[in-house]
Amino acid sequence: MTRWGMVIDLARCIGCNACTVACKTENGTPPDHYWARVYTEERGTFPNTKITYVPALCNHCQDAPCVTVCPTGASHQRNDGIVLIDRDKCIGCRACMMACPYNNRFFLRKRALKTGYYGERTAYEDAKWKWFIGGTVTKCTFCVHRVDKGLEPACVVTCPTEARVFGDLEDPDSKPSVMIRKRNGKQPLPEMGTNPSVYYVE
Amino acid sequence: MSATNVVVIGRNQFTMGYRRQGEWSWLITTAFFLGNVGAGLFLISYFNGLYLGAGIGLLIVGVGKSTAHLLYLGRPERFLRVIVRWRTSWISRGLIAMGLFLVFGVVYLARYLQASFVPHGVTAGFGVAAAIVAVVVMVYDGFVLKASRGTPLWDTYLMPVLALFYALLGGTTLTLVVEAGLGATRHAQLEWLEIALLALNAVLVGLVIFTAQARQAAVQAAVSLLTRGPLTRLFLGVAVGLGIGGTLALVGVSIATGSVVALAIAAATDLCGHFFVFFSLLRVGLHPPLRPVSEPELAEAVGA
Amino acid sequence: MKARVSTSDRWVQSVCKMCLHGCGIRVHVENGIVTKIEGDPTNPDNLGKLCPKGNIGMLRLYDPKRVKAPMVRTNPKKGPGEDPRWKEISWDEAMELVEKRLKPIRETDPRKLVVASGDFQRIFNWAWPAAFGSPHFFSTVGQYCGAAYHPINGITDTSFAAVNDYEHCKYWLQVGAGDGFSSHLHLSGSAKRMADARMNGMRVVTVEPRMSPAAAKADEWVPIRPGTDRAFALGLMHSMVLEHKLYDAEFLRQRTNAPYLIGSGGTYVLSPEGKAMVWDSVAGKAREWDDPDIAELALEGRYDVDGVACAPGFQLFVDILETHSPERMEEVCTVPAATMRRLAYELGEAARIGETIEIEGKEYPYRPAAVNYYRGAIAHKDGGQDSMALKMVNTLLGNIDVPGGHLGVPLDLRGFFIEPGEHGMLKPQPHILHPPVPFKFPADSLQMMEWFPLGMDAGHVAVDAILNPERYRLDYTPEVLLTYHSNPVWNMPAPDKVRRALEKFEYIISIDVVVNPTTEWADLILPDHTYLESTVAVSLEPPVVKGLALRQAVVPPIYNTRDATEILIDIADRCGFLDVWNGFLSLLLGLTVREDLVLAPDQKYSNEELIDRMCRAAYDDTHDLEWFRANGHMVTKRNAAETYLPYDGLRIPFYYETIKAAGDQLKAQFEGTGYDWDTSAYVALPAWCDGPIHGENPDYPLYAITFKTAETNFAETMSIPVISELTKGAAQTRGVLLNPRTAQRCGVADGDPIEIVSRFGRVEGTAALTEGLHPDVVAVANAITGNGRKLGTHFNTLLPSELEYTDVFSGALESVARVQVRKLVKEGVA
Repeated sequence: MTRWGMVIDLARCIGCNACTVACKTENGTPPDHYWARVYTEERGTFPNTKITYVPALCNHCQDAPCVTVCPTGASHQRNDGIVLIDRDKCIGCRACMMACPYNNRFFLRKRALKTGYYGERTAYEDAKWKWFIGGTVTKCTFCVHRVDKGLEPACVVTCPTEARVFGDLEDPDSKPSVMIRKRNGKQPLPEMGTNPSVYYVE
Repeated sequence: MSATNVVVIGRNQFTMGYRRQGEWSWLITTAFFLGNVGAGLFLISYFNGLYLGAGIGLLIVGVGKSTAHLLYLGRPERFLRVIVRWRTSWISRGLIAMGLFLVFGVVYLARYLQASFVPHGVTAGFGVAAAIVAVVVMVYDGFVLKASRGTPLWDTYLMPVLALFYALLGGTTLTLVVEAGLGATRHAQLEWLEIALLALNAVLVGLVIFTAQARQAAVQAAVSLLTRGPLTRLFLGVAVGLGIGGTLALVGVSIATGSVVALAIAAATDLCGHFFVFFSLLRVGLHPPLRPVSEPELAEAVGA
Repeated sequence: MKARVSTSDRWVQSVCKMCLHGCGIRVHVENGIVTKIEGDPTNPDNLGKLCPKGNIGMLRLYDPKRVKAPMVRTNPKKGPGEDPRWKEISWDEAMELVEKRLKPIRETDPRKLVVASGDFQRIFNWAWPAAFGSPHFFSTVGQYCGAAYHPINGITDTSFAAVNDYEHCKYWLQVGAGDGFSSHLHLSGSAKRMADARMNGMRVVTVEPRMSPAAAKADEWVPIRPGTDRAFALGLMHSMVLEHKLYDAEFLRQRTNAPYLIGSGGTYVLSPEGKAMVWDSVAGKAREWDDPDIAELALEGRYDVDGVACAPGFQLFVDILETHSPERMEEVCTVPAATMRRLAYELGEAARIGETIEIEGKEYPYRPAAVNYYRGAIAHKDGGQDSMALKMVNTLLGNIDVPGGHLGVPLDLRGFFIEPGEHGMLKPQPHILHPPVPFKFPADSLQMMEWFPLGMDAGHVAVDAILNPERYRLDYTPEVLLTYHSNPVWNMPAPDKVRRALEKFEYIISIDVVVNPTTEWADLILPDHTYLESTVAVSLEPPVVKGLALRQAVVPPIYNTRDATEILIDIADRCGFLDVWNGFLSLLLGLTVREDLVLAPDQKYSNEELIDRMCRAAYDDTHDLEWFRANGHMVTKRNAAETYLPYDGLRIPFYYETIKAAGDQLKAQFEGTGYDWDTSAYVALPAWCDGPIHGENPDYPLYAITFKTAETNFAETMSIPVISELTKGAAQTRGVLLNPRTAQRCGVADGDPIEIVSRFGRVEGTAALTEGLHPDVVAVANAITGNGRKLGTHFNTLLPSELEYTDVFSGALESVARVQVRKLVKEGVA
């Protein structure tokens, strides 16, 4: 069976936010919604400063707390490991947002869809926002609509440094599996016991 | 760790650090609070045979709590969907319990409402059932918090225990008020129960604070916001100081003097404290940074 | 040729224009709406990658605040906060208004029209003012970035830009540049190549005041005080040459003018036949440079040639280096002397001097270590010398245009401009954007281009000249300003002065897609198509690749706009110089290679006809516009012969005699005018001297710098709300960056409102503390300088526009300001 996953190469990432924006346009996410984004982590003191760019997205956890707490079954996991929200079932209780340790879920306020990015909706937003229902929670879908067509997620395709590698974690020879093995891939916040499908290598 | 070392990153800020949940606030606190005190009032009144109290308890849950929830939901028209995931979701279980509570409670109250077509045995049986589901209504929100793994402060069995005992406390307080309002004889044991519950809750709140040291960094960070940060006045001053300390003193005065005024003020301070204990705990719900600081770095931060 | 009819769902190949370059893109059009933009995977330039700006291009198209039709101002009062009360008019009315204003000027004194251009992809339109007869440039063309860079590149190897060899470099010393990390030269592909190189073991050392992505990803960050990169380079070279003796003497002897003898006047010692002389150390005598009997060329020593005291250029540089010890340079730039020594050693060792490599069947020198530098290092008062010093580190390593080294990047598909010059040298090409302007006094151009024989048009000098005509001996008064994709109020220094200059114009016409702080002053706005609605063939400074790519109309224009190229043709026609402009266009579009493609003088061509001819002229009749529409591009990787030593056999400068000679000539030209024009910046070798921003300054203790991130480029980018929302939260752009200890000294905490004050201006902002910043520095991202429509923490306000702060050789402006920072206390608040 397939288990879709991603490895993020922190050595390659330059924090340019191409993924952040590609995600926004692929999925047409409304203002304040950052399904993909890049954190800047700063440690140490001048001149011994260390800055790391850490891209983030839904980890599509195998033990997903968001799915457990969802009272309606809107949050669910497919057989290939992708965690999705059924926008027709979500009631907007936001329990999943409390359960997700990674801050990867976004509540879509109804008025956000009315005003759009410019205070008035553009033709682009009209075309893109058909997807969204106000009053529900949204999140990264691993670009399931692309993956089901055999394409890679938009953030992966655009990444100038190829810091995001997508593939089947069940297949030991897939690119992400090899990277995890060879470069000691680590899941984020393992103490949460969520078993993410996203790994980081340094 | 002092709160000044805890950098809480704002919404849509892309630096690494703790993030505060910004979604559960006044309405959810209100819903939890009304569920606690409503079901608590029902339960305590039930044991004291105080039908009016039980009825008010039902109303608080059936009207107050439900309204707060419906106002909060993004898609309130779909609320009935929540019953489907009772196997895993405490919200599901809570709603089912709430529904049963309202049905059982109304049947229990049938006799009081002089609906004599309901046989006595049935109302008594439903009373027992209502009391049992009332307990679920009292504690389920604690389990909802406990299940919120992304907010480590809440991820402890102290939360359902706290919910249970605050619900009992609130129920006791309100029962005393209803009794006083009816001009009925006051049960001294209820007042002593009130004092015992206040003391117990003080211990439970203390446990949440003092066990933080042994828990994840995110818990310590959240607690430092409560004790040495922006919410300290509200939490230590209003929720603990006034809500527990003040109430204890006022209940003492009430026992000593039999003053109804003291009792009324004690009820106000208790309910206020109750509300803000949970409000504070919700507001400091911190999500951990994606890459937490390592132990040595944490030690350095604490030492600084 | 008709506009293409949209089908319901299609992908169209095109070229991005969200910065000045032009990565290949593919655009998804669904039901006539652009819904997604991706990198074009068939284009070897960016290999399917696309930066954040490119991804969001459709919001430029659908921006509801675009100019939707020609608009005329009905409120005669102009200025900030003054509502222009725009009124939409027809194109015929608009063009009549233009004709009414411009035709009399064209017929009487065309100098009275001033043009500000900033449309980099249609760079041919930059020549339109020249066809009109207007010599001016009223905008920045690299005063903060490339003014000091392009002339040095062009003089060195005829390139326009330069970047290290991503494929073969193993030690990359990055000084004040964003290449491969955040900006410059087709970011997407460069970032991919840089990441691959790093993962293949290339060491990166980054020298700059701020821990930018280039420094964050480097193996080592070397913080430096702003504006002192030349001191660092000189300290480094001191150690390389005098201490470690790590330099490529063979390269210097055989491929540069380092051995040419220089006389006391600073120019070549010439033989009676007029040939440059060298010293043969075996024969013990001077010979002409091309004497076949030369046994060994001397690089060092002092000689006497027929009574003329002279020394090889290399010796003169050694003399300079003697006085630039790492210790002395440390005091200037704060980089520890020991670090400079270590880096000099590492760099010299990594350069593998003497080794060769075979690529595509030919043997080349192999020098896999190089310095890569750009605007942070050189946009300074002595930018020419900064640029020269950093280039010379590479020349010393023998890595110029060889595998692993520092490679010239031509402007466009024409490639290097290889012509033999004097004395066996490659002919220098300081002017790649336009031909040199002959000396004239008084000058016709407001930017005094006649007095910059090697430099670039310094638009800020034009502002100074408009405000102080007597200082520059102007004998005419400018009347009309035409801005064309240009925003001088935002992009030039001292915006108050720019505004005062704008007040002097009787009429302002703007060709643009959105309203900005400059078009706000316009009397008439002529709206252009966006890049997704218009067509042009593009080839602009791509490193590694060459060839034309077509930016094409992906969707029909959604508003009543016109292609800027056609607007300019129409004006040329109405003002009676269409024949002149068609002549220019034939040259600029490369049509003169085929007689049948040359434009007829009096015919008005459509933009598409021009682009069709441009494509056919560059390739052949098969590769016409229709072919490009269907196939996107002709971009291919440059091969080794085009990349490495394409001018093999010709020498490049080590000693910049060209610059010295040009300065001498300029000085002579000014003699007799009675006019005092500083020519001291025309030097053949760099040295350190304190500029106006250096040294102790108790009133303005800090150094303010500005920088660009991958998310932003022009002011226009910041008017896209996705970008502004994102940059508000991103670490580099969330506010004015300060080191925490500096902030503490200034009494400022994270998130505090602050004011930054220089001698020339004052701006407000919000403090954002970071340990990734030199404690002497205040860093202002261009993302916070405005939202595209209004100025914000506008860095340029802190800058001067006086000649005193301008490199009179290159035109570069000092882009660092000395400032103080204070917590902002709102009036009325105790």
